[in-house]
Amino acid sequence: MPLTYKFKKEKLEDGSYVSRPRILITLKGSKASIDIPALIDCGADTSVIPNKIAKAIGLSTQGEKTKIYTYLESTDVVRSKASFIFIGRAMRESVTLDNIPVLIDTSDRDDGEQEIILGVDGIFDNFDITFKKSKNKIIFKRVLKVDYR
Amino acid sequence: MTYSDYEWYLEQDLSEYAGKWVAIIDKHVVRSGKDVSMIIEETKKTYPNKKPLITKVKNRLSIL
Repeated sequence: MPLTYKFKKEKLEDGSYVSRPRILITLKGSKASIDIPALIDCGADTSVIPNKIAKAIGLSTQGEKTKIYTYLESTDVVRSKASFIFIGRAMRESVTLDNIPVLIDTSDRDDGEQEIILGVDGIFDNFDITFKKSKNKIIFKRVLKVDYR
Repeated sequence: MTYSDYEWYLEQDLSEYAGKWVAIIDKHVVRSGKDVSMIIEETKKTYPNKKPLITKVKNRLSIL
């Protein structure tokens, strides 16, 4: 059964509104796990996790150092792996993905922009994802056999 | 039940917490602040048998 999520209407500082696709996941680490509505982003090559969350739940931050590049700026990150549970309305619908490549944002900056972003690598291989903004639905359909051709 | 907290969260205007992380339990914001590790730790201490929904409240127009 597909997992269904919704867009979150969010008020901006200038009083206008945007709708962002926020997916309910559990992010699992070696020490703890947290439930969090993560942003799904088909423009992000890889998923990104803020350093403080990685440390709080016990994700390794000892991986290869690299950088990610966004519009006009770059951020220091390290490569790591994480497990995600995509939570469904009923527990039996939930889907676990282990050993997914992630980048941990080590900048520890506090500019209000840090959050968990789910990118293409490891996520879009495992789900066919349909965005239906007009119906306020984001549908995740599990791909049972991943074909990398 | 986290999914019901997620559904509640989707319907809320949380702009009073802009720029902060919040912890939601049983359809209530129980803690907020700038330091997410502190939010996780303090919420766990206060509500050891509950699983909070942790989220960042953003209020800036952004592209990734």
